[in-house]
Amino acid sequence: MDLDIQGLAAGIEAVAQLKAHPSGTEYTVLGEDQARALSAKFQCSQLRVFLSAMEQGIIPKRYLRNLESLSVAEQHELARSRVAIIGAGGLGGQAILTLARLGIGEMVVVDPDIFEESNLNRQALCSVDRLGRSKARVAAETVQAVNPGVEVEAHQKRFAPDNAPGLLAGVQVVVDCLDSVEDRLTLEQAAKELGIPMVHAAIDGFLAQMMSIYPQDSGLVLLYGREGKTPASPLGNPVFAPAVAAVFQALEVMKILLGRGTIIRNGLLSLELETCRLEHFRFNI
Amino acid sequence: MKIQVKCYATLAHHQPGNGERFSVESGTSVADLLEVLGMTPEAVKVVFVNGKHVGQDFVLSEEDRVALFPAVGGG
Repeated sequence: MDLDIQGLAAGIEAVAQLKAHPSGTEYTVLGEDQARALSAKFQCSQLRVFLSAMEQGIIPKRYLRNLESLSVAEQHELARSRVAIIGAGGLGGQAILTLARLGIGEMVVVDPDIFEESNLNRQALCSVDRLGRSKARVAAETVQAVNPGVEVEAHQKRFAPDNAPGLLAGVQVVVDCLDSVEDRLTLEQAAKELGIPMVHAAIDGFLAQMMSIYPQDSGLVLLYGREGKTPASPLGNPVFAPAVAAVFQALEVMKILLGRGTIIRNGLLSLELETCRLEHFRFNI
Repeated sequence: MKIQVKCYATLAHHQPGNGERFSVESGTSVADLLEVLGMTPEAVKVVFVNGKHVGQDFVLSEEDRVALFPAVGGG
């Protein structure tokens, strides 16, 4: 059935209400219950309802507190975006949750693993009742619970060169939330071949690092050399570094999609959390 | 001459106690510094001096701030 676009737009306008932002500005907002009801009535996704609202300058109420820092047009742009998160563990879980709250419209989540007890110390999507379950599927369910205005494609599989074109089709930014150098190099090569910017992060102990890599950039070779041997995380992974690194990754995704702010490109953002050192190092390129 | 040295992550156990004012002979290169600190060249993947990337043959100057990183790959 074709979507009744004009009917949906009129339906949104009919239920939208004025709501004051803390800045004092009044915005026309669409509540969550109304969005869900319209999604059911017009048999379309809640994302489609949100997009239609924002096309009319009506902000979903869940995004009201993003305004003044983000514009309605920028929020709309985020909702029109498709982002892939490769890895749904320590980095990925927090990145996915943050991007869901931000309001990315479509996400692709790829992870072959299931949750294990050793994930409980740090992985934002891991809980006792989810042990043994697919990280990718849990990610999709959790995002639906946090923000039904996000469409998630979950893949319980390992990212590999042969499935890369399918997994990254239509993706504007890919987020490297992997845990081995070999897999990161595979992802970087695929992203470069497909012309997609990649937001890399990695952690060890209380250290987090992040770098955005555009297709023409040197990228991971600057950090790992040519060999790509895997250092496990010899210093362990307390919760802090993955959580902080993933939030910075999500922020970087927002900046890349919206073309604003300082993007860490041909540079390394280093966060030594225990000593409160945040440094932006630069490669001479 | 005095330089600043900071060893990150798994290199931290090579961090000298007086890293804020570490004494080296003038003409010391990054490679020389690694040897003084007891690190192998392979263990150090990335070197920044005063916030900019350099090679291990880079010759240090008074007051330089040296940051030494291993490969960091966890997630």
